Amino acid sequence: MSTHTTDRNLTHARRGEDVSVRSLKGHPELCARLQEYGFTPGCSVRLFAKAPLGGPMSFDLRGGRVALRKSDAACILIG
Amino acid sequence: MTVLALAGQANGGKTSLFNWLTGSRAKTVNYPGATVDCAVGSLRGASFDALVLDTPGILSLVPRSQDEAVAVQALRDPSALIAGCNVPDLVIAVVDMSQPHRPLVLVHQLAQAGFRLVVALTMPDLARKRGLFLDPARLSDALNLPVHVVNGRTGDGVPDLLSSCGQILSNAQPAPVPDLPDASSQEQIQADYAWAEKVVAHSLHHEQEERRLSLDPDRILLNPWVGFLAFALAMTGFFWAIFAAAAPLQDGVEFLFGQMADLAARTVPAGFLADLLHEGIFPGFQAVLVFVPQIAILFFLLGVLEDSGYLARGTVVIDRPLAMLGLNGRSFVPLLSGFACAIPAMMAARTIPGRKERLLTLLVIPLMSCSARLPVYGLLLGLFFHDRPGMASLGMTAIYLGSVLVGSLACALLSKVLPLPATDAGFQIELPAWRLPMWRTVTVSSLERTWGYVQRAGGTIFAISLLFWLLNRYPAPDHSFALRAGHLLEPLVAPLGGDWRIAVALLAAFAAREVFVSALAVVFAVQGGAEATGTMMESLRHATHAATGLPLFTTATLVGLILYFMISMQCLSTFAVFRKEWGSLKIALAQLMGYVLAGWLVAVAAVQALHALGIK
Repeated sequence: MSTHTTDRNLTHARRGEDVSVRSLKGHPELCARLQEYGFTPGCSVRLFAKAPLGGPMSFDLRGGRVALRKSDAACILIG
Repeated sequence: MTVLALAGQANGGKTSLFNWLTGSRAKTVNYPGATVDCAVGSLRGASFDALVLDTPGILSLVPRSQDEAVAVQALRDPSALIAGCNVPDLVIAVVDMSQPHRPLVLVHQLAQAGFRLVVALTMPDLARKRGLFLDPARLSDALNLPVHVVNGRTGDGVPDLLSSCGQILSNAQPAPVPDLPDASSQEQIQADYAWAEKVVAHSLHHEQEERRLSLDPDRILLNPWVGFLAFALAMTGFFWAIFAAAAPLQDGVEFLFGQMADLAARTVPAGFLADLLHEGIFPGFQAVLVFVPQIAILFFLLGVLEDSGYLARGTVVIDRPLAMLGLNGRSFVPLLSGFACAIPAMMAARTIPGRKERLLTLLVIPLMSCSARLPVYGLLLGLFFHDRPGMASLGMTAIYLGSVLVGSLACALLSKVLPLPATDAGFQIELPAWRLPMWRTVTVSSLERTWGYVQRAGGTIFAISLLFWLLNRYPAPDHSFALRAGHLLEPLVAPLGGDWRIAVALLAAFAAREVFVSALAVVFAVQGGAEATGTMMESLRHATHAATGLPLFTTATLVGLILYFMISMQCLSTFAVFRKEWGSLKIALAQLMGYVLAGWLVAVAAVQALHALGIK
């Protein structure tokens, strides 16, 4: 586990910004599923778009595009 | 029999490959939206005989939704689908090389579990554009498995893949029994991805084309507000096309029936058979088949939306509004399919991981305006706006919007009272690359689905029309069995302003909603007898209550009947499928009775309110 105290997660990413996944925090099963989608520590992710009214966010990673609810994206901490 | 199983992620090209392996004549079991059930077909064009098993997409061997559970179970033990087959002889792992990491992690898991594997690399064109073209020889070297590039659009590479499969099968021992993991540890997933990254780095082709920046429709369609607008436009266009484009085809169907009736009148000698054709079979069929063009267009457009990749985007745009109702973006495809038919729609709900969200979706699907209601609304609106066809199509739009509204209300209400805890499975979806739809496949499969509809509905309509005609005709039209049954039920429809004829048609419509139309057609054809004038519409429009001589299909009664059909679950097949999908007879019965009762209450309330306002 990292000793960083900043809790910057994927919902804080800016559009078009490349960020790197640092770790995941939340329900273990959800964390496992998010990693199965490719959000593993060290992976480079770019926010592509946000749906209105706080809807899902779409990310580009590993050649593909995946959309996550904001609450899911909040489980993915970035460095 | 040798069994080849296909395994891989959603949208990875499994079904295209399946179609190449089996020929396009394979039975279509999956409706547009998602592959949620397994399909089995005979292998064609190979030097050996085998059955091919297509499975729903999976992310890993640890399933988290019902469609994934179906896939994993089929790979573990296909004996329920193919008698005598306890393990697939060979698994073709489908790897979309335009985003290779995730599918390679699955290949790794399949290999670890002990499956005998061949890798099919799909989406070569897209991978070239993204600078991720993999060299099959290098990948084969890294994986220690046979690897073949196949193009799902052209079929290139399929023969090589097959000869490789044949080679493996010809000198192989029986396939080993796989040992599947029960849970996936986060450390394992991370290790698998680290491995996949190395494999991809090792296997990248020396010569990558320069990455081309292509137009990305997601810039517009996932744009916060423009995307919302585009979604509304897409849905409006979708329903508009169903009505506008179908109109000339519907005229064609009517013309055809007119010709057939003429021919029958000229060739069949007067008597029992002529009466049966004239009063039973022709009116019964024409009333329903005239809506087949709309149903075909509905299936076609759903197929186009799916094939292009738009359905996944719609899912993202609509997730937030659906979440407010207690649903999930993943409910969108089942609900949209519900406008075609509740049965495949309920199966599509397997992709929803949360139990509560899935149950809620299953419960409200029957409120979506399915294609079986089209003939009913067409008839009722035709009676309402007989001289203004433009108003009738506006009325149909209003009914569709109304069914969405009623569904939303029911959802909001049910999500409060359902005893299930909300499961926080969240919402994740992979957005497949945009593609031009494969027009031939979409056309063929929508025609096949329409034909399936005609066969299914046709059989019911034929049987019911025949039975209904007999019941109306015997012992005599003025004291027939149907008339007696109708009089028994009349108190139930009297508050709607209906009479025994509407009562028996509603009863018959539990076989299938569209039977309401054919049943009415038969009742009026028989009752009309000699003085039957003009078309069925004419005789319905001039129908009166026998006792009072007042018109039967008044404004209030038509509104009541439309509301009743919007809510009531006049479909015993839906009941059976709900029971199978959710596994509870109690909830299935509650759903059936609840909607029938609610539909009746709402309809009666509306009719009585209109009467009180002086609208007859």
